[in-house]
Amino acid sequence: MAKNKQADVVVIGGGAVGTSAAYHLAARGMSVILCEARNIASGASGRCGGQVIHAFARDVNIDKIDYRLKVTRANTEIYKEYQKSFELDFEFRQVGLLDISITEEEFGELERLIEIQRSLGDDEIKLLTKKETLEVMPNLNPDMVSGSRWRESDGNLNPYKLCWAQAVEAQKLGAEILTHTKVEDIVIEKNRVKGVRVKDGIIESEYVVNATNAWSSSLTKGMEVIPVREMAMVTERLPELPPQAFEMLCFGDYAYGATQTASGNYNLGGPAPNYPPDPYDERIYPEEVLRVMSYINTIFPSLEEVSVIRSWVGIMALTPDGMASIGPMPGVEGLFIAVPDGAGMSYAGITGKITAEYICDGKTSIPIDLLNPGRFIGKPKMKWPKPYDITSCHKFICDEESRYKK
Amino acid sequence: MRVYDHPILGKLPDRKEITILVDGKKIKAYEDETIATAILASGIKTLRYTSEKHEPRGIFCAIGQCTDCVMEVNGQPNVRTCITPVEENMVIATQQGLGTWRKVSSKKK
Repeated sequence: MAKNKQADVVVIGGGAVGTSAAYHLAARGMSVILCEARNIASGASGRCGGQVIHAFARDVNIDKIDYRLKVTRANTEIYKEYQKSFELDFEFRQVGLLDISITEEEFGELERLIEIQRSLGDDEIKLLTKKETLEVMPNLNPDMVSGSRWRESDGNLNPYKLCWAQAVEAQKLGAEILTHTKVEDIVIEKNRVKGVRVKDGIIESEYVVNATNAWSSSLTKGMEVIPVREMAMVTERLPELPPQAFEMLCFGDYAYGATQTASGNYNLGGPAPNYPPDPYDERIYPEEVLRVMSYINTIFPSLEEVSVIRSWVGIMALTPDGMASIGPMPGVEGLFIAVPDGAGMSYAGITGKITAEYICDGKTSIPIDLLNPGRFIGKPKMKWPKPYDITSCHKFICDEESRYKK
Repeated sequence: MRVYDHPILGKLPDRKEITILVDGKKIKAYEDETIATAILASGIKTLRYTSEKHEPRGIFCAIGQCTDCVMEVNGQPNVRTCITPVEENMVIATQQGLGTWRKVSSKKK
């Protein structure tokens, strides 16, 4: 079936980034084949909380904070354009996001962060006291809040619908989407990409875009990503609740979410703390559900009696330094890496656009030097934090000095 | 309507009578029976209206599976009345669509 197929670009991965790349490339007139091992939005994109966050994370590297804000703001502009031109709605709403602190000490940390962000010219970020936070989100447990960081333009979307919307638009522009087509290998000859090998043949192409996020390091040598297991769940349909998204460090783990879909289901998430031996294990274990539910009950006591109708585990990816890996892979001509770090929904649109710009024009509207995917090649092998949970990864990323220590 | 003397199940046992509030109206109920039972006994058949077509719904499966009988109980929407026992002075409201979230934080039991 796939024999003798040919395209300008093969995109590997049918998540938010892969479909975005396919759409933007097709919009520029390239012939595109997208290969997805399972179905559209089967990986992290179909399993996440759908938060669109500008300049997230709590590390204090000035370059990173500044850069993230610039990229994620450009991304939001793309979503707004999507909303105007796309046939399908993906429920993007800018409802604001609270980065909630529980202890006074944590609140001090937020104060310092906001000072840095403001000195960088970010006039939108605000520090809310406990009282103000509770006014914004009245169903929070007052005992669990000491204050928060608030940005009005943050928000959430329905990640599943975003992927579908992008895939549908890409197909309209002539892109071919092959689901259940696992790419076994990227074919490279004399440091130049020739195509990809799938089960029944080779798809020839001039460029290959690796947008497989947590799985990208197995397809491309030199890429470094840490797979992080996270779980999420969705409640029965509820009347409209205070809509703000939130993020908080709860009992040493990140809890986040509160995306309400258009039909009323509330999406909440947290870490999957069971840590099976295989970090790519997408099965969910009952202990994990109970543990995250106990967080949610503590954070939102009023949701105590609400029924959860589904829960699942997804594998997201973090990079060792907390920055996305977007750009051409050094040493291999024609191979482009599109792996956003962490909050992929804040990057998906712009990552696809950058990919298309680089492949079509050879230059990008946003500088991508900081995101060079080859930046880990030749560096001393890093010691990953174990277990691979998001909290230790975040600490690891924030603590830059100790990273290369033995 | 209640069957006080059932030809097979026999007589209803004596139970404590309590009062619940349904849409502001006082209704008599017996302890340990479900909300749906008490409401049906008082002659009310519509428990909620659907969210899209605003059609009336009442008891359907009566075993807590179909969620057709959900109402707002003490400010909490989506409570399955067919499996929730009545309590003295419970405030119950007919649910419109997905209901209205009136509950801010739960009472500690």
